[in-house]
Amino acid sequence: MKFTFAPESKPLEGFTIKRAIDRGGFGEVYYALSDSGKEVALKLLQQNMDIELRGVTQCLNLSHPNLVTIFDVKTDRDGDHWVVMEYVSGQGLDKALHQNPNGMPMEQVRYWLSGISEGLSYLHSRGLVHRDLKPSNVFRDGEIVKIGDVGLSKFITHSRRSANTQSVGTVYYMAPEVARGRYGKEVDVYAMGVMVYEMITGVVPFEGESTAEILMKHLSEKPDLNRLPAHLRAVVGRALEKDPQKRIADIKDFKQQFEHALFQRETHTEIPENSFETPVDRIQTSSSNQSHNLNREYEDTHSKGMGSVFGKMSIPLVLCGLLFFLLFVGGGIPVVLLVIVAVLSCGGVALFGKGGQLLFGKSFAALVKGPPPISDLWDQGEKTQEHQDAKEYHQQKLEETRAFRDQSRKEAEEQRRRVREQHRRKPYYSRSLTPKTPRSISYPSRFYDLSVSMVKAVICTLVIVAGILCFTDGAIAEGFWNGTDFAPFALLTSGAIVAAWSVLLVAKMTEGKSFDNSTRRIIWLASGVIVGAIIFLIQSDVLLTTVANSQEASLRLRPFFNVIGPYALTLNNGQPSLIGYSIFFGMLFCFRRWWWHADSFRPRKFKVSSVLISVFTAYVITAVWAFPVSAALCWAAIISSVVQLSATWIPEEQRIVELKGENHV
Amino acid sequence: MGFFTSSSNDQRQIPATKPVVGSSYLLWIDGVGTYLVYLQETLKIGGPGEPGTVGCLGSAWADLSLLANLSRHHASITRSGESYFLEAKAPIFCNQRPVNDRVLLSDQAELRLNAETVITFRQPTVLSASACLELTSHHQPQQRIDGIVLLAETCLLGPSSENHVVCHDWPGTVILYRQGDQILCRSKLKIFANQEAASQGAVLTPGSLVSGPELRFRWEVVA
Repeated sequence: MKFTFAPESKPLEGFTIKRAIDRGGFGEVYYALSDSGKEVALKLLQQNMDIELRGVTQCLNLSHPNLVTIFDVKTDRDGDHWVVMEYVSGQGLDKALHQNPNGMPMEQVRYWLSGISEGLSYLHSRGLVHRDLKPSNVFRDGEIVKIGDVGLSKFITHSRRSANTQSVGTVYYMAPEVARGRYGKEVDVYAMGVMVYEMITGVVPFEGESTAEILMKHLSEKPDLNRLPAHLRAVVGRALEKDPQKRIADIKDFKQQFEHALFQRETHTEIPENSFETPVDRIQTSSSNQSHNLNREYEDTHSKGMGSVFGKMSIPLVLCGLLFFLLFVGGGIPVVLLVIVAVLSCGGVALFGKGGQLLFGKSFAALVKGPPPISDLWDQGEKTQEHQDAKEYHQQKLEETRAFRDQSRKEAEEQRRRVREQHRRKPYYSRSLTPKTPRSISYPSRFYDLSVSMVKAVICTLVIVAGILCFTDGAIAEGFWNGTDFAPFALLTSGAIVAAWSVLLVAKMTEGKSFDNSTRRIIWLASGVIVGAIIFLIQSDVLLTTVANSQEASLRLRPFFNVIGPYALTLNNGQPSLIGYSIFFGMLFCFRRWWWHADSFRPRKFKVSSVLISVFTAYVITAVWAFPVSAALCWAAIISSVVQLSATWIPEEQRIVELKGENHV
Repeated sequence: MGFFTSSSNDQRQIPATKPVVGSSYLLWIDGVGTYLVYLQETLKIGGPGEPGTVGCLGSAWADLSLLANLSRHHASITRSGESYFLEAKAPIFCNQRPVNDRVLLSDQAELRLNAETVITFRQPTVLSASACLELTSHHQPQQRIDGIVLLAETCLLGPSSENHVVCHDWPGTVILYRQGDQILCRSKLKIFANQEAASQGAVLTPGSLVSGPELRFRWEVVA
């Protein structure tokens, strides 16, 4: 992400930019320090400047703990506009959502919803609407939720609800009416509904491959509420209504209804059939079913009206009956007057509905219960019952809240336990990276390294043998410089190359693999035996030569073994036999840790001590099993040197990267 | 300690030795945050120092001076080889257990310095002995930082969670490492330190600006 201003630049007098924070739809945001050390966020307005400037100017004097405060708007020497804002360091809701891909715990959903609704409610009460509410605009500063980008807010007054040519807001959270350009504070409720849906389920209700597709879904498709818990479907559904008139109008109402639904799980509010209808749907539906609905409505209203009237009339009718009975039994003018009053009351009830019922009810209460001190005795019983009901309801809610909290706590504890368990089971790797460190190396990479090493091995061998020719005067040098006998030189060179190649081959093929020591040594023993056999064949069948100074070089040492079973280690002329070669190279390869010589994670590229140990090992082998000493020591020294010089080696600081297999680095 | 002698005399706190220049650095990373890279083996943590002696991150008594209700020298974290030990100088809890003297820190250890102040110790990768401290409870030093890296030999900055500083949008890893008394940076990415190629390694000096594809950070010595 490239930013215009580098750290330590001072485009705005009084502020030093320390680093870039982000790039939003309206420009770049930087973290800066004032000359006195106050930290601020500086927003450079680059696009949609008029919209942003207008919005920011309106919000300059807003102050609420749940809104990111705007300190000032300034213009630099180049005429660029900068918004000086409060710096919020905490995690954004987008990151919190990213950490909970399958939905957040309900406790966290309530926390975010509570903070956002407070901030939005303040904004709406000032006649402003945010318009760009989305997870990346909501932050957590310590324990306080803060809504950012308030500068996009716009007056909700009717004159300004008209269309804006510039689409604002992020399409996933954009209410359908924004696309039509007419909107009010309901767009924020819609965006909050989408965010709550996403917080609970981990996904937004409408996804698509293009902006147009998502917009179309917002305009026409019903959200899949089945992903939500059953008790929350209705309230979230009402926040996601297509029609702003049918949507929950106030953000605080949404929060309260959400909380109510959360703590009253058994009560499932049914979603009306005509929910999520677009205006077009409504017109079509209403035209096709108009007559039916009218009839049904008429019937409903009529039946309800009659029912209610009869319901309301039932008590007065009974009373009328009683009065007529008294009239006939007792007689008298007062009774007649009472009858007239009762009939008039019934007529009033029938005529004026609820008001009439109230009037009749009160009149009846006054007549039957008597004046207030006496009527209070009548009412007390009812009030006690109501109070009891309310108390029970309150108690029930408290129980539910407690149960919910306990469950949330248990779930959180369970989650923490799972994380700890996962953490405990993390695979352990040794800190120091040695040839023992298991790692995966691709075969193409192995073959490439091997081929390079083999070429290097040839060059190194020739250089070392050239040194022997130049600085010694033995049979090899003598034969070479006289031009009489090249065979000893060729035997030394070819033997060293064959052995070095074998070491490189076996080491590279087993590099990074976790063999136990015995398996490794068996592999190396076998390869040493094969190498010995090859060198014997080169000597006896190709070069037809002898090992130089074999007789003299024995240094009068008597090896422990001259034979292995019926097979002699040396031939009659003192030359080593096939068995002798195989035993020597087999033991040399088996006793030395050649994989440490050739592994790319060996501690150092070349160690003289390794060469000396190899030479000593060769000497010990010749002391036990008969083999020409000088040839043995010479080969051991050459093989050890050549292998170390030619094998690939990775410096320690690069090993981490190599081991992580970061091909993208 | 005598009967009438104040115990505070015996538990006198020794002022932190003044750090040599270059013992701690700030990494200002674009789009990521601000990190303190601490090079010394022992980090002293404490509350605000005396007025006038407070730097942007430390005080006369502590290397990391948090704006919290802590003792002047509340605790120390010491690196020993590849391990880290927490030494308590005041009541402190490690993973909800009280620390009496010294305790070995493990990855994700929660250090509760008082009722409100919590720091999380992290060793994100076993491939490096360096460790991180996260200011879990949002108590900050005077200069706001997003985390502390206790640098052993290498510090990894990159996109995966195994890096000491996780930079989500970066295309690859940048390695900061010690070489003698110097700190160098290198990467397989094509990066530049002060506009000179640094992929094979370049010495970071105070004020160095390292930039590359989709990344930029500044290396600044702490005043």
